[in-house]
Amino acid sequence: MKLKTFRRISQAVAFLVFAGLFFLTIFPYPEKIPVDIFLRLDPLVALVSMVASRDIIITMLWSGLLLVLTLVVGRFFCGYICPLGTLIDFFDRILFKKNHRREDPQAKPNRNIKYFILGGVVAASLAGANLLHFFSPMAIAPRVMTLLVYPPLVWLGNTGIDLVRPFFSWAGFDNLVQLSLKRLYFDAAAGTFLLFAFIIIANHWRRRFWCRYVCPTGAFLSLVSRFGIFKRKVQGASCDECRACAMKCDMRAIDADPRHTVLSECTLCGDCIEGCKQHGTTIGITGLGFSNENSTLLTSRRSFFYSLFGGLASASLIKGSVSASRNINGQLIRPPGSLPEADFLARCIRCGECMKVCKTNGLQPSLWEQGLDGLWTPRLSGRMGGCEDMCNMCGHVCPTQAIRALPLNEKKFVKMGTAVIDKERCIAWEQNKLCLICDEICPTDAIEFRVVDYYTGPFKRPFVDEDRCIGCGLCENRCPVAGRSAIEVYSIGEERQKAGSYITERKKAARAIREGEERSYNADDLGGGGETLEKGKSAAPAGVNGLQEQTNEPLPGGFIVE
Amino acid sequence: MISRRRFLGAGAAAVSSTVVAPSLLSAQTAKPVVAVAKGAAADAVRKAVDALGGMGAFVQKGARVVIKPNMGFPNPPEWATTTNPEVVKIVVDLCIEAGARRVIVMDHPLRDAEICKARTGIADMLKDVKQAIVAFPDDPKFYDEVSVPGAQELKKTAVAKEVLKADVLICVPVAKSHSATGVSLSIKGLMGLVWNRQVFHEQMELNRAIAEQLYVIKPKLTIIDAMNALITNGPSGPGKVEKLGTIVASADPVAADSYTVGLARWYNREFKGSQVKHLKIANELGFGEIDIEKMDVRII
Repeated sequence: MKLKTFRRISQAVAFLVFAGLFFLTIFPYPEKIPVDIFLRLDPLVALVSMVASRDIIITMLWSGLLLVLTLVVGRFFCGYICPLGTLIDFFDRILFKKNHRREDPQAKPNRNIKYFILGGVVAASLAGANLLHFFSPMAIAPRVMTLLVYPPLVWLGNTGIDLVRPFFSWAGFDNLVQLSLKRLYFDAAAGTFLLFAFIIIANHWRRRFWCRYVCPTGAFLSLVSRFGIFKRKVQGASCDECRACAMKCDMRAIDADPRHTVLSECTLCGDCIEGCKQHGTTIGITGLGFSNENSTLLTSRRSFFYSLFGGLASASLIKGSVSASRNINGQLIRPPGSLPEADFLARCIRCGECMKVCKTNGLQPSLWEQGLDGLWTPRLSGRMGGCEDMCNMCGHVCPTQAIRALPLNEKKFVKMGTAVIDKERCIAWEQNKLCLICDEICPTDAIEFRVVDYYTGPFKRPFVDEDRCIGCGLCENRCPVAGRSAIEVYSIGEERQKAGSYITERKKAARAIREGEERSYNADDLGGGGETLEKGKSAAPAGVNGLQEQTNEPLPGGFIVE
Repeated sequence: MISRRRFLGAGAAAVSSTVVAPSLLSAQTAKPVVAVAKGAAADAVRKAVDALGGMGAFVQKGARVVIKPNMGFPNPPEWATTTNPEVVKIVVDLCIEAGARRVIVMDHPLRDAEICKARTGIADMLKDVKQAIVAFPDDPKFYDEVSVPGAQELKKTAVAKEVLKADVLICVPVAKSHSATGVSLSIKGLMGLVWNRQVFHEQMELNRAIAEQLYVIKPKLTIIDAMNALITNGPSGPGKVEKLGTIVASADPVAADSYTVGLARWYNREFKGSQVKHLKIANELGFGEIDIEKMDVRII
């Protein structure tokens, strides 16, 4: 088999595995398949996340395998595995015909840019900032899938199902009649779209532009790959210096002397073998050898410091200026089990897996509301979906464990925030309407109704029991008030623990099932059913804020008591 | 255009009406029959339905049946927030015995449908019954808007297409308390067959809107699962569960609901059906009997 054919197959298989794991990233969690395993392959993600968070991330250690393989084989990852590289090749083939693109073979390749970026990213991680969401293929590719590929695919699928639905109905396939794929909607897909569009369109000027000039993961692997035992070989005698191989090489890894290979750039793709008219080029095992090309990053002190300062400047810009993540409005709700904010940001690579897997579509990418530092990080939007009580998927698919993989029972005790009722919007408070939806949907039974004398008279009105509320936002999701919900989650009482259990005796007591508990239901405290009862039984001045509160649990307003 | 199914259904209805009409007529002019059975779930349901003339009186051969249990909360059946799976199973079986061609068991939960499906145990109970389908229609495209002539509050609403298409609707609610409407039985449960329930709370008088659903959604049979009744902290629980071990069945939904109100100690007190606003309104609108004295109660 030709090496090029083998490479195409390898790319296709790797991409199918990547996409397959992506589509398997769904509730219920497939216990036997670690769906994030592909994303944990990038050793640079491991390095940067660990350095930035000053912690060992056990789940990421497996990326060491790629490092070892690269050491032995060479920089094969970029040509054979990388899903972003495969997408680049794919779009390159259909969008830009290679023959129509002219590259001056004598021009300096400027391949050092990516080493500057690598140096910058590592320097920024020393300062505690993780910048990989802009650069790592393992952050960009899944995010593209989540935000740009999956929602349109579901829409297409549903449109197709809708087309054949009349047939199901006619043929009596009643179990298919109600078939519908769960739709996902995402905020902030535009930024990812622009980044991805740039990655693809840049191929118009330079083949594999991103890989050659930008990708720090590629740069990191190339630093290792120089020890690779697989190398390109040219039979010296047969070469007539036609440079056809150099013209073919996507990575421009062949310099002025076509017999010589820039090993750090070579992805062992085999295009040069195809190009060689003398059939003198092979790629094979050459034994251990050390290639002597070094990037200027390592040889020039000036370049090294440029890179270092560039990274530190970026980090300080992100961490220290307008963009610092401050959660000023208190409505940044992180997924349950998220690490403390600084650690969370240091680890999160914004791959989007948590948003893909989220049962309710409640996890949304942040745009600028948390500044550049919070760009594309997941936030829980109650209005979009809230956090389903019986689901703990987000932590289990997080490759860097920015969200801890908590067992379900543990996750149920995580307090993400507290719901706050906006009395001016709530129709039970403001309009004496018999509404209890927040109570009905609350998984922790944290909504209580009390008869309260408000300015529209005494009526059964909802309150939040702050000790029970976990801030899941399901109430916010289903509140019938149009637009902004009348009950919203704020990060009051939010718990973010790096380690240890979220279950405490105090919480257990607060959330104990009220079963068997005898509560006295007071008929005099009956909340009216649409009609307003006589205002204020007590002539005494109303309590603080004009609220007069009775203590017993009132009977539902749906009863008529003589 | 009349589909073949509609045509056959209409024919079957015409034939059956000539056969069954006398008994139905007498039931309407005289007292509605309410069958009350005790015992193990499956046994009690069968006895209660038999007392009403057997499932054959409601489900014709080849019929398309929609069964509406409560499976709208992701809680285990013991909480009595959802219908006992055994009760649903026997009702499905009886329909199939009566010759139903298709039985669609459906509800429209507020919480996530997939999780409700897994936790309520109903789908699991029915997985081997090939005529039965458990559905949670969760998209407006599965509902058709209908106007509700005569209604004051619920002037129009979107009802599940399957319900509009079905020959028979059987309500199989669990008996439970409800923090807005007092109790949630068969008529309150009809809200699980419409698309937009939020609007009931937001823009309408809830109790009247609930009753007015009966203008467009007409259950032929109501079988109330009062094996366990959730008497406090409904509809979502957990609350106090009273073990009644009873099944209440009737062709009259108001009578079935009203009788069940008298069975349990809701909120540790005693109520009559006429003390529940939405039942009172349903009775006033002529949808059924509310006074136990005027029912033909057959305790089995």
